Amino acid sequence: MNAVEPMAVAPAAYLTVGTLLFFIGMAGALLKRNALSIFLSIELMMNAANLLLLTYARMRGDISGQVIVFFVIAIAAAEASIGLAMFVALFRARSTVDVDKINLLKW
Amino acid sequence: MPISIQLTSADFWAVAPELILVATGLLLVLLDAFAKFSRPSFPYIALAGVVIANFSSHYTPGKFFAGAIEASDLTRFVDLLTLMALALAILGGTALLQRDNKGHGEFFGLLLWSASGLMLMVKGNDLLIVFLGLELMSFGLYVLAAWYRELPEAVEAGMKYFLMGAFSSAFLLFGIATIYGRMGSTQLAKLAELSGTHSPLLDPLLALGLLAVIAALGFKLSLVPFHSWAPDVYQGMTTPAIAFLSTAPKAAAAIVMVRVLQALAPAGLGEPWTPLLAILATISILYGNVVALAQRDLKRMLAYSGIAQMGYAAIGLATFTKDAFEGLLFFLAGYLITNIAAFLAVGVLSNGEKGPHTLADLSGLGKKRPGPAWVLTIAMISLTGLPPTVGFIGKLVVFKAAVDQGLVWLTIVGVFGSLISVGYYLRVVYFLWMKEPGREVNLPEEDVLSGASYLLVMAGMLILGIAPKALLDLARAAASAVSLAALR
Repeated sequence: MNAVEPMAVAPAAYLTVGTLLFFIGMAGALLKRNALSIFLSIELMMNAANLLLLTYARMRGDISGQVIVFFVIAIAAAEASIGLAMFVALFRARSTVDVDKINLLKW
Repeated sequence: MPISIQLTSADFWAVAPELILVATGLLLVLLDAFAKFSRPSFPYIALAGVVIANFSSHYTPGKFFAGAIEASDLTRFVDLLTLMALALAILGGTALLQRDNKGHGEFFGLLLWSASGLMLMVKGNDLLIVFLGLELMSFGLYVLAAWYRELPEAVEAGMKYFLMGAFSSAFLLFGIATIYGRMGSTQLAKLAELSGTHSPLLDPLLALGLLAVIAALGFKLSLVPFHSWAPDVYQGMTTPAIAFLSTAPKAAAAIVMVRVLQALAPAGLGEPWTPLLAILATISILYGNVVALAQRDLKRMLAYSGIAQMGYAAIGLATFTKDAFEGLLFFLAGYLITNIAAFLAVGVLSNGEKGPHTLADLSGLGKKRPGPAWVLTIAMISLTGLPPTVGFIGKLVVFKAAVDQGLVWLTIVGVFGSLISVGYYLRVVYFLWMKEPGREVNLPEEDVLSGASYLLVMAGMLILGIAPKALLDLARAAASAVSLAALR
């Protein structure tokens, strides 16, 4: 009886997924018009970078990449709290979070 | 495998200024919550924190926290610049804020925390610390951008700064991940060792990572094409906060960029990177100066002027020699004093923080308020780069290093840009002194603190312009902390 071998996934696959996710997030951040969606896309970019860091850490057998990811998760949480507070203040002042309608500052 | 790190008191002395600023900020926020009557004393408490932080930063050079933090003459120089920017912003900004009853403890707290992140970012010998410091700096500034949260313009500025700032820090993280993946380390000193043996910038993935880091730091420097946040944020943000944001973080970002480039290309920048930085410098100088000519709002004009000024700084980055780094440090110090002076004077010579700061409001204010009017006049002369001001010496040393390195065309672009800038800088002086007073302008009161800030910035701009040797020596000592190639 052969035990079922866990299928090994090549690190290159993780790297591809991470890079793709980063660029999907970038496209979202550039194309979306709702401030919340833009912020969500930016979070996707950061998490894609996290995936890259984890993969590289695993490939190199080095722990420092994983340590960075923990810090980044904490940073992203702090960033989200500032961003959401900012959007609430924005909605109170302008009754919208659509970035196309927020255009008081221009020359 | 257990990992043990031995921490000694020397480790904590290396970050003593940061710790003191953070503690002062916490104290101010707590006082605001539980002892509101003490609000008038907040600027003095914040200033006391800044002064104590300054005297606590006599650390011994070396590496601390298991190599994550590096203290050197360079970090001491940046500490000094940051604390000076903080002190000037607090001195000159208090009157502006108290006029609108906006001098809460959180304002000073956020300013101090942001400064501590900035100083930490430059001390970081590990890319993780650089990232953490940059984020700590930015988080405070995001909130400060929307400080007048009932004003739609201010909240809009805050949102734009936040979204674009978060976007750029995602790029920084991507760059760090890629550099880590290709090199196997995030410590700058280790990276420099690894890079020394071969020529790693030919590796396309590593080049992509470095490009992402340059983009993220270029965003903080507001270099074209990463500048689009700057005009809106400058216009919407309250004056004391923008006086800080427009100076110290840019100096720190430029220095961190030099350190990262040095770690990845210790033998000199070489082919694709020098032209890249030179192109960033060129388009920043031309775009910033030309668009500034068309501005009627002073803070917006100063934003485009800032883009152009960072273009001059990028000349120093592109040159990338020891002399250029010295020049860059001197230029950044001069720019810091001058730009804070300009913003504080613009804030005082206006209808207050809630209205626009138009050029027309300056008409004839030279006779009415000679103090701030002189500050603004000297600041404009210094930003143009005319003697006898610090701005002249700063441009001179940066341009001279570029010529020595053979980048003559870049220097010509810089001089040409300065010629264009005469048009909008001296227009401010013309409105101040030659125009007859137009409509009534409701000027804010001045107090002892803002008077002290005028004296300090005037002395800084003129004395350093006439006798720059002391600052040049400081910059030389600081520049030697990064081992850049001497002349090629």
